Amino acid sequence: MPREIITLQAGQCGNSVGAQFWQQLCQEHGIDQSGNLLDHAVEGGDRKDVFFYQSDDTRYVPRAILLDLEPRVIERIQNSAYGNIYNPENIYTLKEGTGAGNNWAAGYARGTEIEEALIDMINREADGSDSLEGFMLLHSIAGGTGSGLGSFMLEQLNDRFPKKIIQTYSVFPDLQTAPDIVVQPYNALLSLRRLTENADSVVVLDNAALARIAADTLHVHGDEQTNQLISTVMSASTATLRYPGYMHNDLVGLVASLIPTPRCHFLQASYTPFTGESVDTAKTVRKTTVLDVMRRLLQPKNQMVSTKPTKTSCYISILNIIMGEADPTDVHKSLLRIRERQLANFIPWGPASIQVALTRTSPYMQPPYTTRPPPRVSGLMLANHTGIATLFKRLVGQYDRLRKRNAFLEQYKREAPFRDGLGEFDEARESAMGLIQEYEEAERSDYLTGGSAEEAPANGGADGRADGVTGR
Amino acid sequence: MDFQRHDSPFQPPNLDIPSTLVVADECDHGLFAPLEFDLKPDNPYTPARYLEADLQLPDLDTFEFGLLEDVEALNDTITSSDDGSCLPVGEHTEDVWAFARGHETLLDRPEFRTWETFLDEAHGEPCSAFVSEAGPKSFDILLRSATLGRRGNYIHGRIARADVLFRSLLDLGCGRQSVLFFWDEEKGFVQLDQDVRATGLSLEASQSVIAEMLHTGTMMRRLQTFSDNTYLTETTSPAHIALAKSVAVVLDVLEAHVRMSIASTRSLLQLQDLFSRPKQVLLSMKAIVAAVEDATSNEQVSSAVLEQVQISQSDRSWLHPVLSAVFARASKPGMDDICRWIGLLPGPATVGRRLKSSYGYDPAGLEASGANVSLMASVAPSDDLQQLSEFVSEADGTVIIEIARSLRLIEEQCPDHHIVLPQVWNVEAVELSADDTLANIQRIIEKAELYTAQLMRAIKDYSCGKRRPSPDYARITKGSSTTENLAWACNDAQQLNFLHTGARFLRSPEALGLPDELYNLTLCAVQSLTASESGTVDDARSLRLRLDPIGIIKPLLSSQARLVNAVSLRLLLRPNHLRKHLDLQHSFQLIGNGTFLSRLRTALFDPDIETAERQSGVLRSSGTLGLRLGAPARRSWPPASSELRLSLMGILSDSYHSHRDPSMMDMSTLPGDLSFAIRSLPDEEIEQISDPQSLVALDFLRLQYNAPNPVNAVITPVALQKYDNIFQCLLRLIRVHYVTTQMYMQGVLDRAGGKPGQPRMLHLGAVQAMHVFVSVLMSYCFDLGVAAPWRKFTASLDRLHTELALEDADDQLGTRVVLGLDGLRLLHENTLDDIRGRLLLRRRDLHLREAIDAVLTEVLEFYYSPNAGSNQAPILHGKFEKKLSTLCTLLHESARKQGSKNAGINMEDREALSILSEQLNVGRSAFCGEHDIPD
Ligand SMILES: Nc1nc2c(ncn2[C@@H]2O[C@H](COP(=O)(O)OP(=O)(O)OP(=O)(O)O)[C@@H](O)[C@H]2O)c(=O)[nH]1
Ligand SMILES: [Mg+2]
Repeated sequence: MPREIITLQAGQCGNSVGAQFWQQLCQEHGIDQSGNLLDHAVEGGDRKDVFFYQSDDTRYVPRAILLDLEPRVIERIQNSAYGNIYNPENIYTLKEGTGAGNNWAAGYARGTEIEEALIDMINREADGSDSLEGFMLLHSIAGGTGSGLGSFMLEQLNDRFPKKIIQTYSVFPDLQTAPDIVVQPYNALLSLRRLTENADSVVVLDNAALARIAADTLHVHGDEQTNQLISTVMSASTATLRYPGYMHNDLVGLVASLIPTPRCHFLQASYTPFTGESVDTAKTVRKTTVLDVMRRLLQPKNQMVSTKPTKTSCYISILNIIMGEADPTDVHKSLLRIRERQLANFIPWGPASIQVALTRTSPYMQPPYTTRPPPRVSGLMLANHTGIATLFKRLVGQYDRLRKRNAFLEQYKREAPFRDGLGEFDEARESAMGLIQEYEEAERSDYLTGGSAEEAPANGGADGRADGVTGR
Repeated sequence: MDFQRHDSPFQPPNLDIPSTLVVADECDHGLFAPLEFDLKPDNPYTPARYLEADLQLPDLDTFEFGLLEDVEALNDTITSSDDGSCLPVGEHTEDVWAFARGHETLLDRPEFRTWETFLDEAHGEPCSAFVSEAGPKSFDILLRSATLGRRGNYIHGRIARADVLFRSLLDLGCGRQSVLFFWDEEKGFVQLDQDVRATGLSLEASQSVIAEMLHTGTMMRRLQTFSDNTYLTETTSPAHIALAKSVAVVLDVLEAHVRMSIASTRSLLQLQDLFSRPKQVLLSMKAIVAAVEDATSNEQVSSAVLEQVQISQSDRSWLHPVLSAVFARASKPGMDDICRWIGLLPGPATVGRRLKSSYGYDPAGLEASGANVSLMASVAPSDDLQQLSEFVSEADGTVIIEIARSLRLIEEQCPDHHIVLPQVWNVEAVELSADDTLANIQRIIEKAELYTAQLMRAIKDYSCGKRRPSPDYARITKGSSTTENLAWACNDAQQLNFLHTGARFLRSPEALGLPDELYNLTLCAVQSLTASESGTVDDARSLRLRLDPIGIIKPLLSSQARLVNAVSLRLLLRPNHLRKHLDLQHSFQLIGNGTFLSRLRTALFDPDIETAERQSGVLRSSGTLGLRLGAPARRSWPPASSELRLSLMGILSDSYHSHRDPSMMDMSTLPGDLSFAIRSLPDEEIEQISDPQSLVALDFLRLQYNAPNPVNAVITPVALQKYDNIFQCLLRLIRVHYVTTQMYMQGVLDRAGGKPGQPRMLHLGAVQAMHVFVSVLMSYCFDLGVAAPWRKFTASLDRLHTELALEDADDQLGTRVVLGLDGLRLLHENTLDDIRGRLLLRRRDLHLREAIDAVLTEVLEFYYSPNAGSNQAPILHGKFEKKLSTLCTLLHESARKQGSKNAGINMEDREALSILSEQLNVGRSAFCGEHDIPD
């Protein structure tokens, strides 16, 4: 009885990342380009049915719905190596469409128009699963389709599947250098509101950080490479679902370890070590220890989102997913070391939740099935950090600058959500400000009691606790 | 020396006929000399009592008629040497000789001495006047006269004829009847008349000599009976017979000893001395024989003998070689049996039959005994050890039993294996006699090496596939061991067997028999000869070895152990897929299979799936059913067995097969018929589990697994009990973890909830604290508790596989891997103990376990409390915090205490415990932050 997850991928970015992700999953599970199991894929122990279902002819088919408002990207995917594994019925493109033109409103409006077709697809997928646990949305929030249609889908899922978990992998635009899309602050802010209100968990990736990592660590450039990074992260963060252990073997388990309060659900990811094609083998197979991996995961340079944490910024929670030949004792010792050395600051109002999941990995991603051995130990850190709010602040700042000049608003006003005015923008801004404020509150110890600590009962804490304080 | 007996030795004593010993009152002819001195002072001439004596002619040689008064005055000095000057007569000095002279009046005249009678053979010296020189007769007379008249006539005893007495005593000492002593089955040898004495000895002295000889003779006779009768008794063990044989040899030696020395033995004193050592020997033998009386088995006999040998070792060191030789013989049948048992000698062994535990899980027996295998007790072969003799040390016994069990296992699995039937494959059995000890131990080692080499070759042949061509073979060899019954099939093994048997027939019997060591040893012990004189090698080492029969076969034992271990280990690890069964335990009993865990979790807890509970009027759909523990709709607990079956159906097999290649799987059953079952619980616990909200609500659920043969040599009932204990603990934890996740889903993942208000935030805070606690505990239990020790265990197994492969590559057996089945079993059980230790399931950690359960119970209480969502949350949270605080303190103390004392707790366990302590502590310190805020 698997806890199935349906993946929605919208827009160019979402579908490109998705294609990469599915390719990786197929390789990890020993599924060939036609969806059949490879001859050597007999070791088992994995749960393919979380992300795949088996068609009548026992081919593995991704539980994926591919959406775009133009045919080009998806056609390219369908013509690629793993293009045939998707269920054609789950692909929705506007054949004559040209996309949403980097316009959130257009993406959103097209969504409302094709709602029925979309919902049909989703329902069919949901019905096809035994015990659907939730949805995963892959998209960028800077363009038009990923952000606009994505937002629309989030709203729809929230309404129609209130009990299912909704997780997104959202690619934020590069907010630091000159924007490649001028209206990206508009699109992103509008999307951010849906991510805040209609999703349970958002893995924030930003193209600035991804590009930096690709360039610094892997010495490569281009979307192809950043998508590789993203799919690695996705593969790692779903590893505990696909190779289940005793904990974190479903989405709720992962989310529960990371997100203690509903709105602070924006996660950042770090991964190490990356083994791109161009990095020579000697460097990647080095004797990395678990402690090394864990320490590196805490370094900002390995973080896939560019935040500027302040002095008061702190971790709400950390989940390390450790893959490879790690000795459980080593892992826990390293964890303790990190706590002792206070390499990470935690919120003052709850337990310092730093957890670790040791997971099995695919046996087919190492020799003899591949030419290069994987790193001995690798790790993914998913973290809930209040510093993420600085990203939102910057976004709001950029939005404010555009908005002050009322720049590029015409194309939005043409679409349904803005026909009756720009209230949508203001609500989105308000939502973002609320989110930023909540993160700031979360840095304070009276977060739970809402600043009125004296009102709250003594919380049972007065008795003999002086010993355990580690002076944070 | 040939005694002339005056009576037939075989004639039974006839009490009616007056014995020759009886003093003739009426007639004085007979044994007793009618010597009567008239010493009565009052009337020397009064006719004596016996007329005939009086009428006898006086001895003319010495007769002097006349009154005493006629004798020269006493005043005159009468001396043979007339040297009166030295003692002036009539001086004031008292004449010390006066008294003597008074009695010498009859001899007052100096005797005329010549050489005349020198050539006269018939001449007898006249009696000396001195009592001390007069020989025994005068003593007899003195004795008689001194006691005459006092209380009866015969108080002085009757004098037996010296040669008859001597002869009788000699017979007595050798355990034979005679005129004086007869045999009584009840009392042993009995003296016919109690007043017999030897001439020249008092009755008491005579009787004491006689009593001693009676004792000796009785012992001799009893021992003879023992050695004769032992053959006749059906129930005796071979060791009894061996002992009886030894006794016979010893008795032979004693008789021979007596026979050899009797020529030079003249006096009773010498006779007594002649028998003094034999008596000691007999005493020891008697003690030994008495000790084995109740013994029924070889082992008991040899243990009893050994005990006696050790007892008598301290006071009779000269006897030690004899006794140890006796022990060596008596223990031989037992040793041979052991050797047969462990395959060193051909033939069936009896020792194994009595031993309780063989490798193997006996479900019926376990059920009968109440299925209450103690967790602490191990099926170590300790019970069996006691069955083995005392001379088998615990370490050796363990080795022996392990070899035997492993052999049985091999026999069961491959009845035609060459190691089981080495003789058939031309491996010569090692014949080790007790006398081998005399030779250099080196010889034994050489034998062992030869044996090992031959067996190695046979085993190799076997693994090369050189084995029985006909399927009948196993049946034939098993069914009847005699060669005649073998079909004349063209069969290598049989041909070899025949050749071998033929060769044994051709061996000359002398080659088998060695000079009887016991005979020589006993002889030199009773003759107090030194070892070199007797020609026996008798250094301290061979003495020691003789008392340590296991020591003799030690070289063989260790090579046999090596080979048997090597073969059985391969058997278990390779064709029997021990690994598969161990992995199964890990996947299910230790919940290492994630699919199993999540399926089980859903079936047990998920409130959203359809209930398997029987509801009237409601038809169950075919979808997934569950128990929905703790769901409000749940009406009764514990669930009915039908409900349980419906809910848990297919979980095990689905989970098992999800890890396997579909083409390879046998869908029908799981290894060992793994299935869910109900744990039998004491009544008070049954009451507790009927509360679905309690921590123990699921304690009734367990996994049942029947380890097949021979996997059960490693996965023993004790191990399964440990698994069960662990499973129970983990299941509780999983349940609480599910509960916190459930609370989380209801609290945090409620997107419709809008911006949370303060009560909800407090609730979320409590949920977060509990969830983190349970998660930390979970990951401790599963990672450090289960995974780490298990990883070590599987690493050892991996190493084992590699080393076996390396051995095979080198064409060797038992050179790299010394571990046997028992070692493997221990490794496994120790792993489980480690896990239980880490999970704080051991008795010494009870307080910690209770503290943990208390915190978990708080979590459940919070979950089930209707007020947890309201303002009550902080209060409940506070209770949880308090319990957690207690737990942290205890853990901290424990980790520290273990650090300082190091009371049998290894570094890793301590480290693990302090990791848990620290992680919970760090988690907890965050709550404390609240107090650190300045208002
Ligand atoms: N990492 C990554 N980012 C991408 C990729 N493609 C586009 N982007 C980013 O996505 C944003 C543009 O959104 P797109 O996904 O191209 O637009 P869309 O969702 O297809 O919407 P329209 O094209 O307007 O219909 C920019 O910030 C790009 O840098 C990609 O393959 N990988
Ligand atoms: Mg596009």
